[in-house]
Amino acid sequence: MLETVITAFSDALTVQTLVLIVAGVFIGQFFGAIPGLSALTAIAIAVPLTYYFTPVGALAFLVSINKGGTVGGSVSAILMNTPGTPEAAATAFDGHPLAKQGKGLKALKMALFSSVTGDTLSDFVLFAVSAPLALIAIRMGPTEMLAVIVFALTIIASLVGKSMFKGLIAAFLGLLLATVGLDPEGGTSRFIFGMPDLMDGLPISAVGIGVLAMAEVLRQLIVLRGAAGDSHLPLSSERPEDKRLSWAEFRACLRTILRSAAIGTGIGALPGIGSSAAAFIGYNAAIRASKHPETFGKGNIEGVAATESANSSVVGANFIPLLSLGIPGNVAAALILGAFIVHGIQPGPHLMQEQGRLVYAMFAAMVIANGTNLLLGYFGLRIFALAARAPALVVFPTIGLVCLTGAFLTSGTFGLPLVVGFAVIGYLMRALGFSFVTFIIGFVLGPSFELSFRQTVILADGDLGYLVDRPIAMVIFALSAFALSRTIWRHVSASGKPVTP
Amino acid sequence: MTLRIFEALVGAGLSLLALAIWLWGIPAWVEPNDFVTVAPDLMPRVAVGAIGVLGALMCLHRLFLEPDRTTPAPIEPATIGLALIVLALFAVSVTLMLTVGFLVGGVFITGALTVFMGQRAWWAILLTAVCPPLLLWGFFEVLLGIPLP
Repeated sequence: MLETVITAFSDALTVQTLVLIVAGVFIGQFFGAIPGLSALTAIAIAVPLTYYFTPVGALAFLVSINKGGTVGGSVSAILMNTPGTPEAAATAFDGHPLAKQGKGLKALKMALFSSVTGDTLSDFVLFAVSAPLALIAIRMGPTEMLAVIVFALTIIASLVGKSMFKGLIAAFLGLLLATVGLDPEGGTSRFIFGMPDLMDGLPISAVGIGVLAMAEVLRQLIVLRGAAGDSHLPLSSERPEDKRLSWAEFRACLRTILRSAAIGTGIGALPGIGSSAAAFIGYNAAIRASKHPETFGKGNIEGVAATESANSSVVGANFIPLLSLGIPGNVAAALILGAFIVHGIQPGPHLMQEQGRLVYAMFAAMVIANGTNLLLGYFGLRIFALAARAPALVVFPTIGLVCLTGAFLTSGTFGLPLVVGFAVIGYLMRALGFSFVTFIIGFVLGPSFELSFRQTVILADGDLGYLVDRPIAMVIFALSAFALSRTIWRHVSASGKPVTP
Repeated sequence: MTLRIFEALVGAGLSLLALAIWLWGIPAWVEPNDFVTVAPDLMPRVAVGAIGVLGALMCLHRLFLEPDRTTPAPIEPATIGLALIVLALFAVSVTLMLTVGFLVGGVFITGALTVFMGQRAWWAILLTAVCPPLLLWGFFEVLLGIPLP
């Protein structure tokens, strides 16, 4: 065990990996702090760059961006009441009133400490759970994998967004686009329109950059056109007690932080729910547990601790289904899955067995990234506060160019028009309220879904009785059917209320 | 137009599009293969079929079950126009990158978008237009040795 830990840290403690962790955390915090951008945008743009890194460095870089983004999102939420990232929306409830009271720096420090605490705890759960879970998953055949993918898609589609129909349509659109390229069994072409570049399918990096990053840039360019730059509240008043966060104040919130970390970890381990839901659930749990619930929303620092701990603890837990089953927990994990594939690594039950050293090196990198997140966040608060009010008319045109550059780096000249095309799809999805989360996860899971389906059909050889001989798969299929029926029933029974399925 | 009618139209449109792909798109763009266990067009047909059915259900739901009958549709001609302008700028930039080179296309897109965002000071436009492409070009071409178009 000790030998494994030493090997993992020696693999992660290379100059390249350390530089990439620091750069990743910085980029994540920077992007997270700018309203309209998020760690997701940064990850989508960064995936192509990881082509040129070692596998450990590439994964450490992307995970660090993800971790930095959750901390950065709190900066603009607290100082400007404009969450840098969707998961930081609940942070503004108490964070901004604290900033108005001249306690912005205190709130930012609480956000940072609770965020890193929640993230670290969730990482330890990941380290403890993923190997045993992979051992169970390794006994699963293609039929069980098919059942798990169907279950994941059902859960994701029914939980994401306001409309179940739109969530499912987006997921099936992702599955459809995943069929572009050569048929995996016979090698015949599908939807390649005579373009050899499409034979390998649509590149995940171009789809990710287009739908996530460039479409968001497009939306922000239009929304923020002609808007004057926002200014934020000062970091703190002149009183020393408003500038620091005492150990007593942190200890008073420790129970809340641990509760939120448990909530975030549980939610993160389920595919699709995401850190925004975790933040709100963590916040509500803190209100319910408090002796003074009336103080929440008026500048209770426990509210900041609850939301930040919950949304950050989703980051590590999202890797549990990714590393053990090959199913991404959210969009960031789906993009990181794309980076795994770029480096010839297939996440899933066999990953621990085949690439155990790499996985443990990634775990070590996650621990280092947490420390970096804490240090960089603590000493860089003022820089990120400046980033929060970076002028939109400089930021978004530049990010637009970075998106095009990223598309070229992975897919060559073919990637440039492709990324613009997917930006149109992403923009339309946002405008019409279709979930890009289910779209991306459907797109990423599409090839695994098709492969498991084909293997199941071949193994069954036309005999439906084969499925009856796979009780675990049958139970998971039944759970999927139950989850879907329950969601449909919930929407139908609420049809008298303004809820849109 | 209300949101209910707009979304019913979106559902119907998706359903019709899926039907067209099912009838004409898949036979034209998916090469058949008789020597495999699962036909190459099965998965596209499953996905397209599901989109078609869900689109039709969404249309019917919005028409007959949606209780919100007042919220207006999110159609703003000005926003659509602006989106088209930005997309056209990106298309021109991509063409310039592919034909002339990264620097010209990059300077064009950052400069044009800065003006689009409302910047009118010439020195600020010049700085925003020139610095990011130059920095990216220097980073990739000069520092890392990765060729850009």
